This record gives sequence, C-alpha cells and structure tokens, in this order.
Amino acid sequence: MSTTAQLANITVQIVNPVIAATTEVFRTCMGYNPVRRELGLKDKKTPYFAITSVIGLSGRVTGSICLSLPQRTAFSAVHRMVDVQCTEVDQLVCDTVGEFTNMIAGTARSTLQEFELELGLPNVVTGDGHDIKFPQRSQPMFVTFNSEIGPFMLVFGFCEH
Amino acid sequence: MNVLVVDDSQMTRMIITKTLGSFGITGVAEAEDGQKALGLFEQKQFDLVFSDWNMPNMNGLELLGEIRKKNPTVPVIMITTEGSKARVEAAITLGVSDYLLKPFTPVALRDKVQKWVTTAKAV
Repeated sequence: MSTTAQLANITVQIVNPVIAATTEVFRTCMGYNPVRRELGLKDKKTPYFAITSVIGLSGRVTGSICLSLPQRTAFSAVHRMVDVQCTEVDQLVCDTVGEFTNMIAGTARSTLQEFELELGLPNVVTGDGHDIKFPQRSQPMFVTFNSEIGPFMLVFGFCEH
Repeated sequence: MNVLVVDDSQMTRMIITKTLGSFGITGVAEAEDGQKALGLFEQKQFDLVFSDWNMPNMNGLELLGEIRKKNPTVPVIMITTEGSKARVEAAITLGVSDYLLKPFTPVALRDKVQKWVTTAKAV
C-alpha cells in the first residue's frame, strides 16, 4: 500500500507537468495563457463546474485527469475553436471539452515518460452536483484557472498500483 | 480530390475539414473511428487521409496498417497526442507519411494541409 509520503511524491511529480500542459494547450489552440489561481486538495467544498471531462491514465501509476468548466466557458471554447455559437450543452460542446482533456493529458504524459502512461478515451459528465471517482488510494488535487473565455478547473489524482 | 478525415473528436474533424476547405477541397469524408474509416476506404478511392491515433473500435495505427495493405502509396498523416519516440517509430514502420502533434496551432495545421494537398494534386 502507498504511504502518504509516496502519494505526496507522485502528486509533486505530476502537478507541474499537468499545469504546464494545460497552459500549453490553451496557448496553442486559442492563443492565450490561462492564469493559474488556486491549488489545493479536492473535496466536496470545491464542486465541479457544469461540464466535466475525465480521462484515465495507467502505467506505473494509475489515475485520472479531469477538466471541468462552467457552461459559458465551454460555449466560448467551442466558439473560439470552430466558430459555432452554442446555447445548450450538446454533443459538440461535450466533444470539445473531451478533446481539450485528451490534449492536456497527452501533453502532460510526454513529460511524465518515467510512468509509461497509456491514455484512455475521455468521458464527459454534465449537470450540477456531479462527482468523479478517483482511485481510492489517491489524493485528488484541484487547480483553478482564469482565462479570456472564463474560469475552469483541473482535478487530478494518481496512486501506485 | 477525395480526402478522408478520421478522428473521434467532432471538433477536430471540423477544424481539419474547414482548413481543407480553405484550399478548395470540399466534400471531405469524415469518420469517427478506424473501423468506419476503413469501411469508407473500401468503398471509395481516397487521395489523402488525416487520422487520429486514439479512437474507439479501431485505432489510427491499426487503420494505417489496414490502409497500407490496400494502398501502399496514399498519403496518411497522423494528427495525434501520441508523440513518444516509440509511437512515432511504430507509425513510420507501418508507413505513415507525416505526423502532426496535438495540440497544434492553426498555422501548423494549415502548413501541413497545404503540403499534402499540393503533393496529392501533383500525383
């Protein structure tokens, strides 16, 4: 079983590549840098936004990376990427959030090669009050960002097998 | 020119198709996974293929292998987050023509599309 120190070590190794990957994906795709705000341990006091995409990664460690956005941020992202004005959470909105998560996870993985991570396919959960399950022995963390298209949050948790 | 765009992301397919449109390529065929793409490839002759790697049912590497069995020369360009040396080498071994890593800038995509549309037109 992983010790607290081991879990902390995994988190420390993963947090910076995940934040850097998020910045790179937003800068490359939309031409601006999101501003990192709060970083902390994920608990019920920090609820997910209305749309959350989760992607699993497994290798020498296992876990998930989530990208969670309010509707207005997701709609703005779709508009920015494909020039479509959305007014409801439809397939294109969910797909866009999922693809951003895929790119963030893929970019982070390239700097976490020692973990030999394989990416799953993104799944999208919508609606107020939803929750995401992480591996039981992981300690999920969240990072909030502000950006030109609005706020969003990353949540990630990993543990050893 | 017949172009096949394969990606499980609708957003990415839209971006690639729109970029192709800016070069006068219309009527692009789209597929959301390798299996559907292979079905289209068996029905019609394509001049150019853009494909993702991570997709349900049949991934991009498997699709590339199937395409090469049927057509050794059609340009196949992988557009993917799979950028490790081992993955790129696996794609090269199976005969990938070019590679574009996600995330990509609009300029990088445009340059790649222009290069391969020009090449395909010249054949």
